[in-house]
Amino acid sequence: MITAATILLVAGGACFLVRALAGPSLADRVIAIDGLVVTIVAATLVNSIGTGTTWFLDVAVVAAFVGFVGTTAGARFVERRGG
Amino acid sequence: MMRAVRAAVLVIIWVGLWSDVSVANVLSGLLLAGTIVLAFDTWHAGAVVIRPVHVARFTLHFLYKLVQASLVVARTVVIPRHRVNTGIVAVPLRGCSDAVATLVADTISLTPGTLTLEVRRDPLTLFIHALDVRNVEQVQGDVRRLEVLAIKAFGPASAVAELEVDDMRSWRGR
Amino acid sequence: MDAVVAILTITGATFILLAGIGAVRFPDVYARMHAATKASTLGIALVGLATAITLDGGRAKTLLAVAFIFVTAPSAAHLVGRAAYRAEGIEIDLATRDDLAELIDDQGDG
Repeated sequence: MITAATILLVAGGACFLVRALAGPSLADRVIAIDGLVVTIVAATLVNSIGTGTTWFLDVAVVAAFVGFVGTTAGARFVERRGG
Repeated sequence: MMRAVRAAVLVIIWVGLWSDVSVANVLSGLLLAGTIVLAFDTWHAGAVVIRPVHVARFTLHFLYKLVQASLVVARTVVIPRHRVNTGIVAVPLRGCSDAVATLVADTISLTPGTLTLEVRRDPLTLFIHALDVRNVEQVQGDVRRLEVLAIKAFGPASAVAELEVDDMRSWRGR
Repeated sequence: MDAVVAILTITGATFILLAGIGAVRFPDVYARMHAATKASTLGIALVGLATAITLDGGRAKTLLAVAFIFVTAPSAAHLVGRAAYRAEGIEIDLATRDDLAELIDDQGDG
């Protein structure tokens, strides 16, 4: 079950990565990176379910915060710099 | 009073992050929360009222719409329709407080087919990007329904009274 | 209980995968934002619920992370959407109706 969930999440992350690399505009890339960060948080939580330990939950919390701040900063940058 | 509530919420979050309710954590949390609340005193709107029954209704409606939105995304991924009618719709709201307007704008982004793009304050209007603009009235109706639920759950008593007056008026006019 | 956790985890991961596929396949910036925000938020809510059920000591942190994402993901999408509208060089597809154009013209730079 953990393997299946991890494979699904890796596939989702790969899709977001494709959009981040190929997206014709900067806004596409910012959205894709935000989705990628949510995928990372989900992968951390799935890992915690699998191993039963709680050590990596701090990583999930910090990743959520940093992802939001990064997306906000990216949005300001898009507005200034243009596509 | 509002500052005390905000500080309490911050302390709860701090203790939750440490996952350990000890004296040291609570005290350090109080110190930090007090400093933050006193230093960043930016709450302009009035007090936030919480009515549990209506909050539950609002939450259930919101969760139902979120699940519906994700299923719509799933269906559109599997069955692509490349001729979509996207557009931006302006929805004037009856504004009552900043908190309710923010909540509505956030929640709209999680309902099927809508995304908040811009908020204008002076006549409170929301500019919503909709994936299906063939029926503008429906989009505006959905947003207004959500706003009514939010006002009933979190709005100040004057706004709720206005809602009831409008309800009565529309009844009588019928 | 194991079955419930398994169903929640797999469903959550599937929704996140659908968000990723939507981000790749949808034709326009705003449509991609719709997909990425809504499906991934629901996906992480389900995975967070599964984690909160299973783990013993980490419930508060999990719920905090998920609640934070719930509150901030729509805000982030709103900011990026606003920036994409105002920036030059980003193509958006507004077939039918654009109420925002008059407002931006009125305001000048907004």
